[in-house]
Amino acid sequence: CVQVTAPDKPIVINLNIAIRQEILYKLAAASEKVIEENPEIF
Amino acid sequence: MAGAMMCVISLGGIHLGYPFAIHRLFQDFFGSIKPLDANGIATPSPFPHLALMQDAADTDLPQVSAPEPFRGRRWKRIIFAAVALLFVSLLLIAWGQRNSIADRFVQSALESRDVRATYQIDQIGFRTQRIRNLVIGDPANPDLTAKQVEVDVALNFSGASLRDVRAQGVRLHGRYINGKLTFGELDKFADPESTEPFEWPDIGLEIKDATALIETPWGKIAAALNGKGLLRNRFVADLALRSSAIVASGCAAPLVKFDGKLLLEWRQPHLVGPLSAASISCNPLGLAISAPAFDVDVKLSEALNKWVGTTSFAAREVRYRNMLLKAASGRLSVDGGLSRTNFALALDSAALRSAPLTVPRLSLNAKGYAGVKNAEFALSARGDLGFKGGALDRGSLGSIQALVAGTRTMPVGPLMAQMAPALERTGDRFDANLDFDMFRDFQGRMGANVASFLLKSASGVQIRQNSPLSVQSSAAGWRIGAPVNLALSGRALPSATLSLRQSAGDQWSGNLVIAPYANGQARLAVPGLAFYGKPYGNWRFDGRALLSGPIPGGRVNGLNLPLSGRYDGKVFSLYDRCQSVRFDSLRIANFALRGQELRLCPDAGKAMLATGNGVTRFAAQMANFKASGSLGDAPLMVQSASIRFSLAEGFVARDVALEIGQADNFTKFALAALTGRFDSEGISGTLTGGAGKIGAVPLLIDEAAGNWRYLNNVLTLDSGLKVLDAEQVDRFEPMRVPDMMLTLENNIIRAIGNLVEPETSTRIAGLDIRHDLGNSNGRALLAVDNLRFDERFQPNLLTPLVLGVFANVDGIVSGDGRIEWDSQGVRSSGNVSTDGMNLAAAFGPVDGLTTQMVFTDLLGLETGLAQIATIASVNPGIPALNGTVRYQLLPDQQVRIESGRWPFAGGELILEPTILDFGVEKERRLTFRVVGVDAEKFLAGYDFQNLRVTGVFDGTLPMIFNQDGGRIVGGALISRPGGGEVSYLGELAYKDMGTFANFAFNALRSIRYTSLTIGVGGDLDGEIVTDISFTGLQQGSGAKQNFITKQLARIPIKFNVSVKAEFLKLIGSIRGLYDPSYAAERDLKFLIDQQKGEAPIPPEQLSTRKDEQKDE
Amino acid sequence: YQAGRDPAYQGARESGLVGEKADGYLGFVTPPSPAIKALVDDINIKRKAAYSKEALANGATVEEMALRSGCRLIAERTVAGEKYQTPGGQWKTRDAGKPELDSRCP
Repeated sequence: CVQVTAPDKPIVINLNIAIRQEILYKLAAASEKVIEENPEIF
Repeated sequence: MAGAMMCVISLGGIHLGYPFAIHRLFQDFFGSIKPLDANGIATPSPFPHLALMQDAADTDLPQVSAPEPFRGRRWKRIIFAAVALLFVSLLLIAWGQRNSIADRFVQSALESRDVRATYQIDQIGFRTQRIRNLVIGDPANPDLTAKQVEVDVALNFSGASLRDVRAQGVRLHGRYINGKLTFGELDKFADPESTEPFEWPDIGLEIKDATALIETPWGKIAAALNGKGLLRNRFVADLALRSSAIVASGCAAPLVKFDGKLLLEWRQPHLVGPLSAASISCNPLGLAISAPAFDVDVKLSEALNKWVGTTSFAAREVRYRNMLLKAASGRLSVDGGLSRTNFALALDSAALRSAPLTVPRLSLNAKGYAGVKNAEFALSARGDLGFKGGALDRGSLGSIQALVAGTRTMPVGPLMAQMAPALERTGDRFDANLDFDMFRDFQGRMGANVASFLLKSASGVQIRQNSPLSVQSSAAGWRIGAPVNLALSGRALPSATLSLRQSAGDQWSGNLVIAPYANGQARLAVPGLAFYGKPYGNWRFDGRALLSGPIPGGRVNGLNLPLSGRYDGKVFSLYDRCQSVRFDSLRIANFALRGQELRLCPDAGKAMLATGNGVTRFAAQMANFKASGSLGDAPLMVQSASIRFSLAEGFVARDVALEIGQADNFTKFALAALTGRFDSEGISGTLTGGAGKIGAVPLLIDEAAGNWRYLNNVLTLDSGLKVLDAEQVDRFEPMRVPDMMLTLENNIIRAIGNLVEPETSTRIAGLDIRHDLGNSNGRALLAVDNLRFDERFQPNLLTPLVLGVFANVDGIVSGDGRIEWDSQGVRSSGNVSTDGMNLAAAFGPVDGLTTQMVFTDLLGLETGLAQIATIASVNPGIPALNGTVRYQLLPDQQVRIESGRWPFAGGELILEPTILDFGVEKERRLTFRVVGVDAEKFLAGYDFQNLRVTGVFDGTLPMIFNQDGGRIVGGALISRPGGGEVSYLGELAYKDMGTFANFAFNALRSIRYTSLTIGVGGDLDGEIVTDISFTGLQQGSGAKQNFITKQLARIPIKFNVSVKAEFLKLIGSIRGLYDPSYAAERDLKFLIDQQKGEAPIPPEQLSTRKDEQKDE
Repeated sequence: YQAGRDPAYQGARESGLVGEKADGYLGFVTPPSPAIKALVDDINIKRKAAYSKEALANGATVEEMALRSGCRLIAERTVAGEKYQTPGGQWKTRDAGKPELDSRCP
């Protein structure tokens, strides 16, 4: 994806990184804890 | 003899002493005129003296009952007859002397009359014959003896007639038995059947040393006579009468003595001289006269049945019933006979004592006529009776002091106090006189007419009888005919008129009028007080009094007080029906009521006012009482649905409404119940259900209940109450003030207390209110010291404005506030400070807030400019630490942010000025300018050991905050010229990522850029879309350089990277790339645990082990 | 029934005025009264504070924490009859069946 010509215009590299991490697993305990500790607001 | 007259009028108790006294006066005065009592004894005449005179006349004046000579129990007449007979017998004897024939003639005369007589003829001359030792009657008990008798005879052509007689040493003995006077033998000379009246013999008589002893059923009388003169023309004799005791018809007179002259003037006997007796006492009449002495000068008719003359009289003591006259003296002139004698009596000095009255000098003048007919006497007299220096025993007028004490607290108090001395001393010394005209006929009917009556007391009291008054006695007892009209006046007294009328039976009725009477403090007028009742029985009265005067602690003017009620001799009870009482003005301390009408009704059916034997009870109730007036100089309006008042228990007022102060911002209070009791110091009581508002103070008072006391012009109130916000939209929740101490003095309300939050009883602030009712100005001070907010006590308990704006407040607030109000309006200021407070807001938790707010309008929650707040950290998603915000609270819950600065990674986040409106639910725009953020410092905060970014960035982060938090819209960070480097210091976590990745990684391991712009957008606490564009890329210092990369270095590469990840996650994922432990450890382990299901549990997750199995 | 809940909040849940949103916060099914709105805002502020604390402790973002909790709240803490919001933003009434959760929920 990298050309080695020496164009006069700057090389525009568009890189779209969508980092979507399915990292919800790790918060299972935390979410449980926050609900248990504040019953009156859940 | 005469009761005193006394007039006492008072609001509370009307002592109807007046009519009694008069009634008693008349009764006593005329009472002694009694109808014939049972046994027909002639009742004494109205004036004891007259009666006394009457008796004296009976015993001393000769009474010739014309038709029966010698008969009748009038023995006085007998004596003269005896004397006359004496002369005739002497004549016969003398004649005998003349010669023995005469002697024999005498003897024969004597024998013919069978008269036993012895005598010695001493000389029979031509003209004078003298005999000696004449004894007529039983020699042992001779009827008549004479030592020497000389008789002169006058020869004239009709024969010898007696001329003069001279006798000495005469002794006469007579008896008066069963109605006839007998001289024993001498009677024989009288012609028993002669009917023509007694005729004095026409002789000259000289008699010396003549005595006579007359025995009568009423006692023995001894007479001694020396005198001479012509019997039918002029005869003068010294006459002395003695009697050890004379008892007649129930009266006894021991040691009667008469030493005077007996004159026969033209045949009319004329007695002159002193007559006295040790005493005269007539028990049935209750009359006893000690040392009576008369100086008689009376002429009798020839027939002894008519008399004319005068006598002076005197007696040491005259006692008649309960009356005692001392040193009585006077003159009596009589003219007439037994059946009718005109008389004139003058008692010019006597001292009277008739409990309770003593009169040092009593005078009586009476003219009229009297008569006796068959043991009945009749009398008619006109005259005047005078008292000089009369005095009544103390206390006989009833205790005025008790009445003065009773009325001390009433408007009439001062008047009573002024009248009392005069009234009390009325009876001490007074002069009185009475013109009267009275009669008593033979049937015992009596009556009197008082033309005028005047009593003047030394104390200045004057009582005058205006119109003639007539009194009649009838079988049924005493009745007053014409109405009594008495006028009372005097220096220190009101002028009053009393009219009294005796209606049927012994019912009395009358009317009392008191002319307006005033002294400096009080004024009283009784336009009319009608009363009717029975003496010593029940009275009813109805009238009206106009009063002005002091009342406890104040004064009432123009009180128009009805006086209607009853008096049962002991207790006055007034107002057994509703009464309306009007007054012009009423003032108690600085509480004044304008004139109005109060409608009072009896309470519990009992008479409203009862006062008697020292006890005054007053209880009344008023329905919908309404009054306007002023408190000090503040206008006042008072209303109450019902007031029950009683002197003993105080008062209970229901549904009371009070409005005090100027019309626009007056202080008003409503009370469910207000009670009060009177005690020695003042008035105290309770109030419940109180609600109200003080002037323009923007607080409403509710549920006030407590105790109040009113003591010398100071009203103190200890009460608990609730305070609410007066504004429509409440700015604060209702508070309680459990310990409000309020005082009202000289129109100034001062109140201090503690403001307490009702649910948690937390003390919020000290409250100190001052309000001037006069001008409705005032101020309130609030002092909050160390008010602690914690999970138990949250601000939304204090104010509704906070709910949904701030929560989880943890910190201490102190401050003070000042609210002032006056005619211009209400102004408030204050300052509130807190240090290190933590709280949660819509945009995220705030820790370590320290600020001091100076409020220019506390109630409007408006502060001055440039309030400074330092915030340890605020976390709208990305924690911003040590911020300083310069702000200003504006009206309607708006906050103007003048500036906000957060040090941020070596540079600064600067919040642009904006206005946040917490009042309305809408999005709030905040624009942050980023200045000089050092990328390296920024990342250092995130503990990335392997990543290094350098370069200094500026930019703007426009944020929009709403209920869900804050998000960045169109934010951009631009690197400053000179660019910077992004390099990765660590090894790749995944060795086997492929050559190209390795190439890219090694190439990109370290990039040098000339400019880096990062576009930022998205939720602060969530996903941030970040457009990153590098320009001027070169390999950074740490990158592996080779041929290709050097070539590339010259190529300007614009590297636009669009990263769609939470900002944190963005950084996290980068870290994940190079830090296996960071990412995998958290997820991988978890995943593995999931599959195995029994993986060892990390300690912090122990508690949730069971749930996870359950719900995954 | 969750102990300690403010009765007004409990009432609002039961009467379907208020429901759990996927993002871990409460949402208004119908326009609320000022009182209910202030009460729910207050609860959401407290939830956000709790999420922030927990997120910081777990190195996660507040949104992550909130979202994960939302999954649990809808799945476990809503009972039949209460309302919840689908990822598409539609309010549904919870019944005995499994609720429609966000894709990211485990």
